[in-house]
Amino acid sequence: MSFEPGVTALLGPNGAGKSTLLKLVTGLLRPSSGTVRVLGETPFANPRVSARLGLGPEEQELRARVTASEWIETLLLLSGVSRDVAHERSDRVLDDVGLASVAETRVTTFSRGMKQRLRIAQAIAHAPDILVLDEPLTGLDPVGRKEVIDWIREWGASGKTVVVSSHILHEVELMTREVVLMTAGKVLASGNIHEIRRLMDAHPHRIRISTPEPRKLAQRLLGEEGLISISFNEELSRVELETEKPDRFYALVSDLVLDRDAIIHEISSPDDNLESVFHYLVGQ
Amino acid sequence: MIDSRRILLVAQWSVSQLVWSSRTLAMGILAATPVLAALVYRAAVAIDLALPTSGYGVFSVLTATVSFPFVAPMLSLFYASGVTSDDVEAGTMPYFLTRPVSRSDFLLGKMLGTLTVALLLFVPPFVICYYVTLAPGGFREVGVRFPVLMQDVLAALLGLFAYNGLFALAGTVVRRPLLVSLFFAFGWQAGASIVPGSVRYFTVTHYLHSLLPHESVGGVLASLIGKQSSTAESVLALFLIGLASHVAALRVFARKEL
Repeated sequence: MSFEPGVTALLGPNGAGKSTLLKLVTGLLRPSSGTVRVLGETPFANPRVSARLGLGPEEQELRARVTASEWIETLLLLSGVSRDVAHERSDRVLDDVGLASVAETRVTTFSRGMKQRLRIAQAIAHAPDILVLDEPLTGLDPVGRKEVIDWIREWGASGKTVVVSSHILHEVELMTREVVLMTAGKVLASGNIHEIRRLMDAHPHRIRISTPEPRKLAQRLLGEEGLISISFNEELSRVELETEKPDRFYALVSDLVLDRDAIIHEISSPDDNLESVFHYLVGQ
Repeated sequence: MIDSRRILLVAQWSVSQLVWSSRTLAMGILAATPVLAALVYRAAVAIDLALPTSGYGVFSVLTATVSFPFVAPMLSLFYASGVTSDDVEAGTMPYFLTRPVSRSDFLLGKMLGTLTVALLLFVPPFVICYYVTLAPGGFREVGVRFPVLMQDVLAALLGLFAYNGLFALAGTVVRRPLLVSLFFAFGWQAGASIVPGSVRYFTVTHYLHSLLPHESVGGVLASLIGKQSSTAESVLALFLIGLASHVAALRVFARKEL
C-alpha cells in the first residue's frame, strides 16, 4: 500500500486498524512484520521524518495546563522554529482554524469541536509535506465539518499527501475519491472508488437508468447475459437493473441510445457511493 | 547527537506542567514538614522550654530521619516515576513523539525537568530548616555549621540524581511505576539496610547515610550491622547509580512503543 500526494481516506469500522496504521506511518509504533517507509525512511522514532509530517491524533482529552497559543508555540519550538516565528505562526494558524478569539484560553476548557480544531492547527502549523489526520471530523458541528472537509481538499489539491481516517462515509466522499477500505487489520481494497467497485464485478452491480419509456427499455434488456433482476420505480420513470456484468450493460445502453432505440435521461449507479461499497465489501 | 536547545525546551515544558499540579501542592506540604518541625522548635525556644538538644541536634535529627530517608525519595518517586506516564495521561505524548525531537532528547528533557522540580522542592526548605533551627545559637553557630549544610546539599544533589534515574527507569519499564518505586524506596531499602552482608550496597540510602554527617536510628543500626562506605565510594556510587539508571531509561524509551 502506498499513499501519494492528494487526499487518501482510510475507511473501516472500529477495530479495523486505521489508527494503528496511522501510528505506524507516523512512527509511534513499529511494525511487528513487514516494513513501513515514509519519504524513503523508516518512520519509527525518526526526527527526519517527523520534521516533514503533521499528525492530528485521534480524539483524546488534552489535559495540559496551557493556553492554545502556548501549546502551538511549544510544539513549533520543538519543530525547530525560532520563538518569534513560532509566535507569529501560532497566531496565524489559530486564526486559520477559527480559534483566534480563544488563543489565550486554557485548552482544558475547550469544547470537543475546539479541541479538534486545535489538533488540526498543531498538525499544519509547521507546514508539513504529509498530513495524517485521525478522525478529523469527530466532535465538529456541521459548519465545522464542512470547513475541515474544504481544508482537507485544499491541502490535497496543493500537493500535500493527506491521509485521513474516518468512519463517516458520506463526508469522506466529499473529501476524496481515493480510499483504502480496512477491516480486522487488513486492507480490503484500495484505489479510486470506481476502481474498487469494478474489483467487485463478481458481485451484482446495480445500474439506475432514468427514461420516459421504462417498459420498452426493460423489454430490450431482458434475456441479456448477466442480467439478474430488473425493476421499476413507482412513477415509472426509472429502471433499475442488477447485473454481474456492468460493463456489458453500460455498453448496451449506450448502443441503444446511439441507435435511437431508447431515450435515456440519466445513468447512475447507487453502488458507486462509499457507503454501499464499504458495506458490500465487509458484508455488513 | 544531543540537541541541548530541544532538551531544555522539553525540560521547561516538564517543569511548567509539574510546578502547577496538585501533586506539587502535596509534595510542597511534605517538603515543608521539616520546616514546620523547625518552627515548632523555635517556638519552644522562644518560650524558654527546657529542651534536651541544641538547634544543630534538631537539624541533624530532621535531616537524618525526615529529609533524606523520607522526603527525598518521595519527591523523586512522585515526579520521576511519571516521566512518561504523565504525558500519556495528559494526552500530549503523541504530539511530542511526532515532532523532530529524538526520543533520547525528549526523555533527557523530561528527566531534567523532574530532577529540577525535586531539587526546587527539597533544597530551599532544607536550607530554611537549617537557618530556623540554628539561628537561636547566633550567627557564629550558623557559620560554624555551614560546611555541614553544604555537605548535606551536595548529598541531596547526588541522592536526588540517583533516585531520579531509578524512578525514571521504573517509569519507562513498568506499567505501574509508582508501586514498584514505592517498594524500592520504602520496602527494599528499609529491609536491605538492616540485613547483614552486602545487600545494603544495592540501596541508595546506604551511600546517603555514609555521606551525611548526622546520626540517625537507622544509620546507627546500619553501622552496627556493617561498615559505612567512604565518602569517595559513596559519591562515586551515587553518581554511577544515577548515570546508569538514566542511560538505561533512555535506552528503554528509545525502543518503546507508546
